[in-house]
Amino acid sequence: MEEVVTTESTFSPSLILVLSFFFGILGSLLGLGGALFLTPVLTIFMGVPIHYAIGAGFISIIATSSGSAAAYVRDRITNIRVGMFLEIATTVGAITGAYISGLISSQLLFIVFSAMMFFSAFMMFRNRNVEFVEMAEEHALAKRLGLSGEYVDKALGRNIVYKTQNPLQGLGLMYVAGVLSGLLGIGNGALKVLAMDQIMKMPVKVSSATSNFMMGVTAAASAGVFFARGDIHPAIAAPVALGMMLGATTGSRIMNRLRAKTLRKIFVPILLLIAVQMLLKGLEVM
Amino acid sequence: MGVDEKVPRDLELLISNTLRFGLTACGIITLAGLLLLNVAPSGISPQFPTTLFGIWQALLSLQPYGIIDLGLIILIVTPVFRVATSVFVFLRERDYTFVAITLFVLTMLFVSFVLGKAG
Repeated sequence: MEEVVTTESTFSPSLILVLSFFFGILGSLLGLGGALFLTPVLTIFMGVPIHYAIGAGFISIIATSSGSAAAYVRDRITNIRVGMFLEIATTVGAITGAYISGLISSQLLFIVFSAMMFFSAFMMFRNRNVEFVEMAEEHALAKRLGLSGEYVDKALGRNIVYKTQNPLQGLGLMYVAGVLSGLLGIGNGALKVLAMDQIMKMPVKVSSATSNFMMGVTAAASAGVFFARGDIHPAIAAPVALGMMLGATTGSRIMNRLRAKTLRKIFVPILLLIAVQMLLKGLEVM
Repeated sequence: MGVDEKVPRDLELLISNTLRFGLTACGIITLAGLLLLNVAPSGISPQFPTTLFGIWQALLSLQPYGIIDLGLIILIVTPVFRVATSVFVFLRERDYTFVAITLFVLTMLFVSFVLGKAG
């Protein structure tokens, strides 16, 4: 490959490692892969070509997913059955996305990415003061598949029982999340969290933990393709993997102690910031 | 119906421990590769192996990129391994719907790996 790794002198593996650590904490709190933060930093501030940044993004998603899921599954915040059920759609979507990826310009990718983030931010802002909406009935299919559940909320100091709604709509959105994940190298944690939180009416912490749980599998479905294409550069991916797994492990110890409202409020400005950055990049202003 | 009846505790521990084991192995190997990379005089090269055979060769000659790639492959395989081990627990629980769901997801993962290699 004749292309250079980076055009900027600011490229430094140790800086990537430190940044990845903080992105890993945020990712594990919010059910995001961390690629959301990492990819723009690598491309905008370190001059890393977009395809390497996307490849590193996949590594960050898997590292954050495994790092946080190890704790969330043990602590029973993750809804394993919902995760497994929705993975049907995310894996098929990820394969679709990875194959469309070579056919679409990176500018268009940035704009799609940006629009998604604006939408997510708007949805999160609308529900910023919602702790948890209790549903009286569970969906028939959700009941048959055993998709409802409960968890101990450490911030509220009580057991939260929830009844899962709209499993089929959830499945449809997960396919879209999977396609976009394959396209952009991001886990689309935001979309997954929104789908579970808004459409399936699951508590935001369970949504976040289950999104984290699923993300690794979705990303693994695409990682083979990106590896073979030479998009995963070891010198970039190694500090990302180390930083993210340490950060995610740290974040998974904090999340259940925070209020759901707090999590939502952290979400909004982060999503907006990235939406603006990516829009500028897509319009070639930056 | 509570969580206890739907998700057996040993499935949770199996998944949690699988993930933790994969992370530890990946962490140690990747760190070793990264440390070797930093002392290498060539700096960051755009040349690196992208095929399993190329990675294997780099690994045999203890090149930093080969070692890092081994760590990254362990990282990538860990979630897949997590799905695979769950099949057996659902099978033991006679939860055939979830055996089918999990097997489907596993098949999709293999399809994607095979397609990835071909492309």
